[in-house]
Amino acid sequence: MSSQPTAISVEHVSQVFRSRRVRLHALDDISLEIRENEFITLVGRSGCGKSTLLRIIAGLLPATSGEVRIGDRRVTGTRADVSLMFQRSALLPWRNVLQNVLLPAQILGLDRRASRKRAEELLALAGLEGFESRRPHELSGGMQQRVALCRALIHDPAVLLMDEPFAALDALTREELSLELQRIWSEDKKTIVFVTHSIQEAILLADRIVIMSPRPGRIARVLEVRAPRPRSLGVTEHAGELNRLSAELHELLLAKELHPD
Amino acid sequence: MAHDAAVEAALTGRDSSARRAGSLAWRILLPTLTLVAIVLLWWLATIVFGWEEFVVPTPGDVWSELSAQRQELPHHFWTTLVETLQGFGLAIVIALPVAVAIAYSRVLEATFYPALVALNAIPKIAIAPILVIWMGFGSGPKVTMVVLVCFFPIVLSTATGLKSTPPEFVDLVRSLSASQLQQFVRVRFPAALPYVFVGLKVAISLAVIGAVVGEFVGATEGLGYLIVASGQNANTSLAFAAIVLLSLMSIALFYLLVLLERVLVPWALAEQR
Repeated sequence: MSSQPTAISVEHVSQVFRSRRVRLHALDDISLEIRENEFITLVGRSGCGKSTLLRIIAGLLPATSGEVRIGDRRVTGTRADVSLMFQRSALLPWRNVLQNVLLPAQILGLDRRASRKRAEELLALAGLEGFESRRPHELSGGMQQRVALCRALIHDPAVLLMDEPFAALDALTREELSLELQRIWSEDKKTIVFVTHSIQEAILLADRIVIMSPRPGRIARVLEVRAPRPRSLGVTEHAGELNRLSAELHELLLAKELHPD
Repeated sequence: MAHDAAVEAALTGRDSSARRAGSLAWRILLPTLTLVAIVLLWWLATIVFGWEEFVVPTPGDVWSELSAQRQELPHHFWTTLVETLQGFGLAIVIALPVAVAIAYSRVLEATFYPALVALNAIPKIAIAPILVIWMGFGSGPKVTMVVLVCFFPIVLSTATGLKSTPPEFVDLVRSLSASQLQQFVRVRFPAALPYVFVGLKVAISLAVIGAVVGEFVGATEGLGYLIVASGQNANTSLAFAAIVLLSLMSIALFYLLVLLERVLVPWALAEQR
C-alpha cells in the first residue's frame, strides 16, 4: 500500500471564517498525504472542521492559506475527477433513478451510450436492478443513498469525497451500506475521503483513520487499520483488533486535552 | 436485494393508488355538496326575506336570465376570457425574466424590488380610467390591467423558488463544474417550478378580477361591462348571471392550472404526501 503514489496532498491548509463580529478559526495548519486508492475516514466531534476540510479538497471552498493538490494539479476549483456525496441524497425529484445517475455524464458531456451502460452496471452493482425508472420519493433512505453513490461514480472519478453519507440512516441500514461500500470499492477502486462521526463506521471502512480535534480544527492522530477486508461488526477473527481500535478512538475523541473546555 | 426493496416500498405505503382514487371522489363530491348548499341557502333567504328581484334575484331568476340571454352571453364571456388569458400570458412572459434577474443579482434586486412593491401597492382600480386615456377603448387597457394584477405574485413566487434551491443541489452541480446555464436549466428552474405554480394559481384568480375591473371603465363588451350596464338598468338578475359566469371561468382556469401542475411537476405533489 505504501508503494502507491500520492493521490491527494493537503499542505499547511488553514481556514478562517470571518463575519462582521466573529472570527472562526476552523482549520489550523492541516497537512495530510493520501495515497492512491486509499480509504481515509475523517472523524471528530461536531465543529472540528472535517466537513470544511472536505469542501476545500472538493474545491467548493478556497482555503485561507495552504494548498491542496490532487494528482499533479493544484486544486483551484471543482473538477471532473473529484466526486462528492452528501448526507442528504440530493437526488433530483423530477428525474427517475437512471436519469439521476446520468446527471453528471450529461453535465460533463460524456458519451451517452457508454454512460448508460456504465449506469446500468453501477445500479446492478448497488443492488438496484429493476429500479431504473422509479422516482426518488418511491425509494427508502438507504436506496436513495445507493443511487447517490452510483451517480457519484458514473463519470469514473479518481477521488470520491463523502460527507457523512450514511448519517441520516438507521443503524442497520448504515452497517449494510458500509459493507456494500467496501464491496463496491473493492471492485471499483477509488481514493476515498469519508467524513463521519461514527467510530464504528470509521473503523469498518478505513485504511487510515484521521482523528481531528476542534477549535481550531487540527489533526490529533492518524491510526492505521490493518484488519483484512471485508470487515463487519459481527464476530470475526479480527474482532480483537477492531475492538482495541474502537476503545482507542473512544478515548481519543473524549479525551480532555483535545477538548479544553 | 431488489426484492427486499420492493417489499419495503410496499410496506411503507409509498404506492397508494387505491387510496388516491378514493380521495378523488371525495374531492369532487364534497365541494359539489357545498355549492348545492350555498344555492339552497340563497334561495331560502330570498323566500324568507321576500326581497324584490331587482334587489336580490332568486337562483331561478338568474337561471331564466342565463337562458334568455344565451345568444348574447357567450360573446361577453369570450371577450373577458380572451382578455384574461392574453394578460395572464403576457404577465408570465414579462415576470419570469424579471424573477430570474432578481434571483440572480443582488444589485438588480436592490434596485427593482422596492419599486415593484410600490407598484403593487397602487390600487389598480384607480389606474383603470387613466389606462383608458392612454390606450383608448379597445382591449388594450383591459389586458394591461390583467398584466398589472398578475405580474407581482408571479415574480415574487418565481424569485423565491429560484432562491430556495436546496443547498445540496447547488453543491452537487457546482462540484460537477456545471455552467450557470446548465445549473439553471438542469436544477434551479425545475426545482423552482412548484413555487412558480403557487404564483400562477394566485395570479389566475386575480387575472379574471383584473379583466372585469378593466371592463368597468370604457368598455362596450365583456362580462364586466355587462355588470355595469345591467346595474344602470336595475337588471340585477343579469348582473348575477354575469357573476355566475365569471365564477365558473375563474374556477375552470384555476383547475386547469392545477391539472397542468399535476402533469408538469407530479414529483412535488408526491413529495408532499
